[in-house]
Amino acid sequence: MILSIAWRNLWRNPLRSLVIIGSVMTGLLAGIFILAFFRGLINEQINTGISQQLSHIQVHNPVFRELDEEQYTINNVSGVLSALEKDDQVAGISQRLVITAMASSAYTASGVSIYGVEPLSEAAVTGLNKRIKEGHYLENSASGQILMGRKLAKKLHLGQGSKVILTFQDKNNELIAAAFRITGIFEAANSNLEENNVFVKKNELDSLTLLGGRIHELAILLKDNKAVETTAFKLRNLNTGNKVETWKQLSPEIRMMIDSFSQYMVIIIGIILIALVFGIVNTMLMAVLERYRELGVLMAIGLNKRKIFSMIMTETLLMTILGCLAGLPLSWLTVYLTGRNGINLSRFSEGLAMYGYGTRVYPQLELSYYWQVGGMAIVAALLASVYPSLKALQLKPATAIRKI
Amino acid sequence: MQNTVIDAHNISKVYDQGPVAVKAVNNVHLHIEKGEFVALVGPSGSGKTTLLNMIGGLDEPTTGNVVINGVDITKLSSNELIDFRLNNIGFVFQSFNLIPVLTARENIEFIMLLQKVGKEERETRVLKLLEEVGLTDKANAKPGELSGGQQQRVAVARALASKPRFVLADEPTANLDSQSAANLLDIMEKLNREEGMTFVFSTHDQRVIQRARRVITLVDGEVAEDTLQTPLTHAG
Ligand SMILES: Nc1ncnc2c1ncn2[C@@H]1O[C@H](COP(=O)(O)OP(=O)(O)OP(=O)(O)O)[C@@H](O)[C@H]1O
Ligand SMILES: [Mg+2]
Repeated sequence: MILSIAWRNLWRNPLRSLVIIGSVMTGLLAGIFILAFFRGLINEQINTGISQQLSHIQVHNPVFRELDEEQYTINNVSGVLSALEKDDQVAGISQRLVITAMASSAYTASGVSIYGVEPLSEAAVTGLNKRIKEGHYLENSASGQILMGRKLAKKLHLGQGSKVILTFQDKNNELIAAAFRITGIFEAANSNLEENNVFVKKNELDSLTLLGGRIHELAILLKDNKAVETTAFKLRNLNTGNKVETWKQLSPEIRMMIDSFSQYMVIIIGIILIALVFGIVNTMLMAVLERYRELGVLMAIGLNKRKIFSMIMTETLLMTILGCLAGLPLSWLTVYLTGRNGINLSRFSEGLAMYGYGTRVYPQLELSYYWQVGGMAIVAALLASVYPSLKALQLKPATAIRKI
Repeated sequence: MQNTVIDAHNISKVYDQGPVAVKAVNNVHLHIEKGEFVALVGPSGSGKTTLLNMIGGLDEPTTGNVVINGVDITKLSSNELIDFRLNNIGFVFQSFNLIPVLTARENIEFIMLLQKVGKEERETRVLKLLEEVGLTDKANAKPGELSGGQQQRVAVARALASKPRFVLADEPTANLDSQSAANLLDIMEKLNREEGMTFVFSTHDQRVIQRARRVITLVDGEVAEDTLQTPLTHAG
């Protein structure tokens, strides 16, 4: 009966109830969409990071990345490779040399990392060949070819076909200078990559550095991200004395973004809910004051305080539930539709590329977040209705009834 | 003493929020027996509403106590008092008695739901009460769709639904035309006569006063007169 009265009370002032229901709905929609957008940005960054730069797993000599000296090559490469051959989750492996160097043009010089790669396997792992915007990819038949990022080329005032001098140390710490000709200019979502990395053929770099076929880095692309931990675990268990890192370990920025997602959620939803709470307190207070006399009559004829309290609470709860019933599916639909085609951010992509984002974001959010957000809205509504309900309890039937 | 339903001992009510303390009710003794049909009269501001509210447990006397069926209601907590009112006292107010979102039958049934009366008994009782107040055909009308007189009749039916010891009615006819007022009084009188229900009602209306068997006159918060009379019965 209380439920039925509360329900009917909602429709005494339909406009007012609809405003609250609409606010709950809009609040949920805004909150969920912002979350889904954030999640899409993070996903985008992860995907771009994995497919263009990090791959799923990388193997190094344990001290290579700390000391950055070329003598620290991977131990027992053949052992690692044969283990990977047996893993059917592996989609591609790129063996790399990574040498710190100075790239100079007639105009200026810049510090770079030279990646010595096998053209085919690098293409299979990072798709570098697809990101050549001018000229062409490395060819096995030619020699002295180098791929340079657009940013670096600009900085050095070089173009496709220009010559660049790379200066670096060989295995014996002798300074080597070698001339390469830019055969292709590539672009990357991560502008860091475009500015710092150059690619040459591995065998050429190998003979210049006298490393004798040893390598610094194994980048492994898997068929499915879900297999990352198992494959990494297998590789670690080989005990080859190498460091095996997944993309999460390779990119602390990405890890931080993922970890802070739930904090974003609390903050964003919190702000929206606070606004909602104020609206609800205000509306319900109005509803209580308007019905002062009626509540007085109800108390006079025998509706006890608990029931009055729960009647007002139920009214608020009903509006919030209606808001959720409208808002959650609507949010889902919005996220689904925008997530299917993505949102084009090319207008802002200049800035975003700096952080490793692509130009399309695909909003996405797990269903569990919908329940969480809906639950939070309901809790907020309950809290918001406590004050108006208490206000209703304070009334004295004798005074309330005298009011016209 | 067995038949005493209301026993007010020396009750007073002082309002002292304003600049001067108002003695709304001053040292009133009131003794009402089962089956009485009492009109509370007096000029505006004489304390009728205040007295009825104290008898009905809606307001606390400043001094004195109100004993209803042997229970001193001035000693009850506010929640106990709500339950006591629910089970012992029927109320009819001047206006806006009914829950606007409930139909006539639901308004009547509501009070029995609060008393946890079983469904079957509720339904038969609602029908009987609607019939007694002559509104069987308006069972499913909302208060807004009823005339003032019809609303007051539903209010009387609701007041009786809980099987109270007595019914308090504060100016139940004040907003009614004389025909509707007479009609409401007919119903109250019939319930009083046939079921022995005790009614205490306040009024300004001379024609309503004539229908009472006992008339208590308040002046400045004190009982100025307390007389028995032979009531005029309404034709029909
Ligand atoms: N809440 C209050 N605060 C202060 N004074 C009050 C309050 N309620 C009533 N009074 C005063 O108490 C006195 C009695 O009021 P009450 O309403 O009982 O009179 P009444 O006989 O019912 O009048 P009416 O015929 O106009 O309904 C009046 O002087 C009134 O002004
Ligand atoms: Mg009055």
